Amino acid sequence: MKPAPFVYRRPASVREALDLLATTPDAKLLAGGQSLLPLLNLRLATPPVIVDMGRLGGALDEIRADGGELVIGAAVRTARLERDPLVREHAPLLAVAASHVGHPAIRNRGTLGGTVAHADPAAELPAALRALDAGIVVAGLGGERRVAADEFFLGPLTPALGAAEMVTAVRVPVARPEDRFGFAELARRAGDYAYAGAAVRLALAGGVLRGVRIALLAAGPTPLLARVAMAALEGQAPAGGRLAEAAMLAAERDCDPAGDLHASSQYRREAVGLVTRRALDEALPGYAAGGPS
Amino acid sequence: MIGASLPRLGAERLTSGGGRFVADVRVPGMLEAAVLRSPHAHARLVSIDTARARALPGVHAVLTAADVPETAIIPNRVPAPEGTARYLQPAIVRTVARYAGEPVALVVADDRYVAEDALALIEARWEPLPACVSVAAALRPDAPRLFQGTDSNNVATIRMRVGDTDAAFADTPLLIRERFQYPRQTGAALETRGLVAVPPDPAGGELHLLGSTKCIHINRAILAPMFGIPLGALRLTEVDVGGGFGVRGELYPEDILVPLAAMKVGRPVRWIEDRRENLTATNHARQVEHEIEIAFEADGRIRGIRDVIRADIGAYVRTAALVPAEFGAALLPGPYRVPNYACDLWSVVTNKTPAGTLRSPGRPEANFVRERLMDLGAAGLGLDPAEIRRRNLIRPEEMPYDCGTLSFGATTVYDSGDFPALFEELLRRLDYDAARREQAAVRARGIRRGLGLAVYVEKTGLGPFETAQVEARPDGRFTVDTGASSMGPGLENVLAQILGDALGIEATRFDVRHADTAAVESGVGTYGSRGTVTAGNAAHLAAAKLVAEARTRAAERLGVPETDVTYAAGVLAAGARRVTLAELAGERRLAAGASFNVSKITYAGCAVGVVADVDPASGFVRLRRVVVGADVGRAVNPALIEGQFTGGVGFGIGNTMHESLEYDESGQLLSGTLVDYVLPLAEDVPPVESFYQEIPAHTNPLGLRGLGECGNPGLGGAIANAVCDALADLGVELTALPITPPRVREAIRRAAVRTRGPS
Repeated sequence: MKPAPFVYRRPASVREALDLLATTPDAKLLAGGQSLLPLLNLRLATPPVIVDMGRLGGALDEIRADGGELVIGAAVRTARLERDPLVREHAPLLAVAASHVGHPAIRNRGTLGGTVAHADPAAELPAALRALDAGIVVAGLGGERRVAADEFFLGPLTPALGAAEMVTAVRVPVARPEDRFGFAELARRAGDYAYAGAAVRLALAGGVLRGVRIALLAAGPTPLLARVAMAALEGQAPAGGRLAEAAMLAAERDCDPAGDLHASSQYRREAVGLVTRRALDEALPGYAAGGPS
Repeated sequence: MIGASLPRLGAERLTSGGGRFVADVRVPGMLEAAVLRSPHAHARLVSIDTARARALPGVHAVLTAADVPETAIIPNRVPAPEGTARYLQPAIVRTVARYAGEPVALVVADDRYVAEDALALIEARWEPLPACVSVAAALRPDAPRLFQGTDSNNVATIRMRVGDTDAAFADTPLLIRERFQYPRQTGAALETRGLVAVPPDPAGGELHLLGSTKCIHINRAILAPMFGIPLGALRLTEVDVGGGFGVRGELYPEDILVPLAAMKVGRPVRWIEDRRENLTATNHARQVEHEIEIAFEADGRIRGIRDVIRADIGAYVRTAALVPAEFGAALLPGPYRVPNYACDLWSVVTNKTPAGTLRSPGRPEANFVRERLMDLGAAGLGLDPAEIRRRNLIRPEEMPYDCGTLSFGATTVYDSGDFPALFEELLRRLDYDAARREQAAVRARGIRRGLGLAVYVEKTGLGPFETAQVEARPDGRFTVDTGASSMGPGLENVLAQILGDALGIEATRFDVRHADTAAVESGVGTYGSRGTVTAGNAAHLAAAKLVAEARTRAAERLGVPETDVTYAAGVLAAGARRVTLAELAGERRLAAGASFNVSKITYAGCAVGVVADVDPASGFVRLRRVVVGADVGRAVNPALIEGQFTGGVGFGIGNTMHESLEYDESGQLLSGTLVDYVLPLAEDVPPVESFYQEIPAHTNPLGLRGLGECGNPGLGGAIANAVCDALADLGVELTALPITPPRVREAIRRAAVRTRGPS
């Protein structure tokens, strides 16, 4: 379990990093390394060049409010997302989702940009970003572009990124007073890949639900939006039966999880129902989505 | 001193980073090895071309079958049925690979990186053959044979017959028939295997292997003839060991290939197994299927058991041959009177990693099956699970009790013990009746809580013998050597406390060294919960010899008859005149060695109780309490006992809740990393409450029983019983491990179909 030989580069600027990506086919960006290094050690990935983002610094390490959005640099580590006061105030869903990522050692190294660009459908932060309707800031030699989280995750480990592009930041709409959030996942052991997870954002105003977004992880090839469940709640009062029904719709209609070594497709579908119910419960405490669990 | 919870000797060294594990061994000029392994579960090796690999800068040698003597075959080191030898494993693939992961070539290079680069340059051409990946597939009439010249993939059928089961099953008031499956598992120790081989100096000397463990004398006796050298020209040294668990230290292909490589290049060679290799190349264990039926009297007494066990032993018969499952089959009756017992044990080869021993070989499987049947019997007869066990436990006045089965060529005779008292103590500690009341109370609040019990018998102190030597030193300390190996449970303390007790000297003055063939010419090793029983008694005998020798010399020196010399606390005295062991040792060597010969296996009664909550919606199981106890004969160090229990329970929880080596249909291991071979975390293990009983064993002078395998093997049955108890009204039956949330959900769905009929 030693990697194949590679050339190691550590550019000092985003521009320099993009130049390296543009001039070296199959070069691979290294952020926190929590997914890439195991792939290298197992020789499942054998890139000729590794471009380490560790020295890019600057804006990539920043967290700042910008109008109605919170801008989080791609190099911000997961552990910081858990604790950062701005994130906890303006994007609490992201802070909670971050606390479910792997183990402390993984959170200390892994980065937001890394997990976004890795596009693992079982990852927590991409699902949270979809629930938040976040924007992904992508830099290329021609400048920056913004891609909606809804458009970014194309398939398993397949982000909407060109060969000479990189994620530099994520922009999240800041939470409004009426916004409610919930996050739940079901994992065999703390830190394991979840059987399923759900991230919920919605607004409760005038007794009805607005802007309902439910994103599912480990439920399909990408982080998914549970659109049928969302539609069933939009504009409705959060009565208990309705939340339970939405959770059932998320499981039955919104996903088609594949079975694997650890769980059958059927179990994963059941798990989607459970986590959706729990996430809705968390977002709407007191509305009793589904009784004891 | 025996009976004191003295702190671990050597703990400071290990906890402060002073350990020296095999990967810490550095020898000048050392090279590193990597092993090319078969990518196929079953394939003919058509050709192998190593030219490009050898040409890679930094590569020193590539070993293939051509470099390995034909005699390099992994032998079984225990008795085995006729014909077993046809299923043994050559150290390297010669013509046919029979499991994915079987060694095909070994590269020696400047470092592991280059060695792995070179592996990719070896061109092996394969002709894939159809693979048998399950016992069912391997036993089909048209199944491909793994070995030419054999008429079956079933290596042997071992038959055990006690009493008359046909008569017992006729007109029985209650008959339960069930199929059980126990998964494939392995030791997955924190430290993987490894070996440093130092070739003999051209000027003379020995071939030195560092990193061996478990049974280094046995392995030396196997290896020396293979290398064509006398026993004395081969030295095996144990260094610190990060977990043995039965898998580590058996003789593996790498133990042959790495020394051959070192001799070929004339330089030290190091091989450290990586985790992916560890899960494919180190022994697997356990996987069995039971087709079993049990007959009860109306009052709950067992009339008889009939069982067909099919063990999936993987591609080859390895060092422990067919013994692991045989141990289980022989102990299946466990602590109960089973007057009639018939068991056929099949040992079937499949195209998977070969199987061997793993902490309590054979018993977790048998205990899971038997203890589930006891609960099913209780349910069928309307008895409490505790009560049905009470009615069947062998009573102390029935000791010695002969189960009537044979394993390892030996009878299964429990020499002594009080299983009912042990069981009642378990129930008392569980506060069983109160726990039942609480179960009902929380159920009213929607919490499904279950209680699970398991009573079982462990075999400890396995033979054939063990040695110990103690040498008094002029500095007042003592050097202790033994053939037993020190793999972490505290052998140093056990020997130091037994010697200290015998000699009247504090335990901290005994330096117990790791096993080394250079220090001990004859020894056996550590397995089968034997260290304390066998090395402990050998040390006790050695101490007596040392005092006798010292007394003779003191009498000479003091000019008195030997009978006038008294011994106490390191001092020999005759009246006012005295001489110490240290002073005698300063004159000339003062040492004594002894061997303890095992005439009978020592059995130990054990019991465990579990309280668990089950969430039927998610299938998640939360263990709330684990209480476990065993008869240790005589407690040498209670703190070590508690440690063994706690570690054993964690081990058993992993075996029960998580661990399963899964293969795909082509014979590729799917659980090839620790993401997929799931081990327990600290959070999976509730606080362990342990206790022990002290009923001296009649099998050895000190009355000791072994403990190393008492903590883990009851958990499968106890946890399964607790989960089924929590879901009893749903009719849930668990017949397979591990008890993962998806498996619990599946069992609930199956039960619903059974009770309501298919929807």
